[in-house]
Amino acid sequence: MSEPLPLPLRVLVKGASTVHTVSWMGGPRRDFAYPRATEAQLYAAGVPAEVRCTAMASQRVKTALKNWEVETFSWSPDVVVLNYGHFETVHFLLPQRLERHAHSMADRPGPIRTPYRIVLRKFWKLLARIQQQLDRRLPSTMLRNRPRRVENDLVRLIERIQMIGSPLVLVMELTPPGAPFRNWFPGMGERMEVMNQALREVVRRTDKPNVRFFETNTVLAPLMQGDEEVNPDGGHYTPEAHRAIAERLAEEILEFARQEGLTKAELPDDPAHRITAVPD
Amino acid sequence: MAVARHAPLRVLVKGSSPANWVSFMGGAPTDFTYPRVVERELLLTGRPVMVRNLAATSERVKTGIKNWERQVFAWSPDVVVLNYGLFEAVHLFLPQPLERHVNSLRGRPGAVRDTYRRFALRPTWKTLAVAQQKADARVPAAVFKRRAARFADDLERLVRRIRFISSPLVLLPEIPGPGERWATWFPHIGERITMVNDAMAEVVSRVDSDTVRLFDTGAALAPLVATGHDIVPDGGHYTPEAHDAIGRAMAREIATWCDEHVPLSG
Repeated sequence: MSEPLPLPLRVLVKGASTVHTVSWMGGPRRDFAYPRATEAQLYAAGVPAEVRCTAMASQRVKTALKNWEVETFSWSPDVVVLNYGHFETVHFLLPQRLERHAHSMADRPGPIRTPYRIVLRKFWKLLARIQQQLDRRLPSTMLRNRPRRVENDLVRLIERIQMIGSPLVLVMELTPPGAPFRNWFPGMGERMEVMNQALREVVRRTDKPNVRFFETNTVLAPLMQGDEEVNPDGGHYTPEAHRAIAERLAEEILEFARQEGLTKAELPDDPAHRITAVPD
Repeated sequence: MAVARHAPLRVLVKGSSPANWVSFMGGAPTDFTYPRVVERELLLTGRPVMVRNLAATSERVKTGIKNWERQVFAWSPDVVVLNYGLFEAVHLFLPQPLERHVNSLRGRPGAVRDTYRRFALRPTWKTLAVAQQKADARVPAAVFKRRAARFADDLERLVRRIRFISSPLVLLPEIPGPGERWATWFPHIGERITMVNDAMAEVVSRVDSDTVRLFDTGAALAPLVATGHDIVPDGGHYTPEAHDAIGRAMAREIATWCDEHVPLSG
């Protein structure tokens, strides 16, 4: 008989582009976003894991409530990472659908489509400039209902997810915008502070030991010395930042899995031997 | 040089809530449904395996025919478990879209939405459910025959389509009788489940192939039932212990079939 094989851990990462976009895109193959880097980290610790990332650019938590059942229910992950709230802080006024349409990654080329896209882009830039001016002049957090709705939606989503064998749920803290986003969206920093408070409130309201706030900015602090930014494109992490997040995530996941009897493995102590799948 | 490994066996589970729901939900992270138990047990035999569970609550076999191509064709699993039939047997006349809407797990919170659900939708649903309960007690179970026949035709079509992809092992798990709670809410559900199980047996006999089999859920659960364990305390869904027993028995059946048809050395 062959050697018994361990049951892989199941980790689901849901969220917006924060999860899967790298500053900058198009880099080498080893530029992993944090879900894949987490998988590599867990494998390096001898724990087989399937990390599924279903994040979509510009996805809001209200969409997560619509698609969670298909993504989560039958697969029944051991850990769910929720990285929401970012898109809700970006635009002051412009609607999500127009943003998705203007930056669509599913557009086709063609004699009418291509010129239309050129016009659309100019129109979008005009609207973005108007929004930028308004964001400077008006109180940036005047739409107070938005974080409140995110909070309520996220609480509902977590309650639903908890039905499925009480997985570990990690609510990710958002990182303040980098220079390009601060210029385009002047009030985004303030909106993000309010949103992070709402995310903390989600964890407080849920009040379960297996629903935790993940302190992303504490994890990234060593990478933010001086003028260094972890999101040079304004809103998305560098490969180094993704890796730092993944290291801490893997530790937290492993600690939970050990506590719940899902694995007996431990992370290697030597940091040099951690992500063997992503050589320096 | 890297060590040669075997490609994982592929197991797909399609169906409704018996494959993804636990009596009761919200338990410990080790409360696995049977597809994950199958994965664990096959891994313990040293056989690499990938189990996909695409069951959806309240899914009927007619939906299974619609989505099978996307879910099954390209992935080409070695084993397909079709756990259909429970939802078809539950309601006498209440429509599935209404049931899904009332018991939706995707509803957002909000003052208007919560009020609608609490004061309009739920009372209406309860009234309809009570009316259905009364009708179910009076109407003979034989009126379900037509639905059972359609279920058999749809399931046969689905099985034949799936067999077209290199003849995987197809398992049709029998549905156990209802628990006390469901037997009260749906008085003739027991007879309807029997008709659904007969329809599955009919499909197996019509297809007449060694690779299309009924999975004897009753035999898998018998040792547990003998201890006095209520396998469906919520009325229709298995306890973690029942899922475990089914998963172990199913893994044994899959392993035996795969030893012959999908050998590790192949």
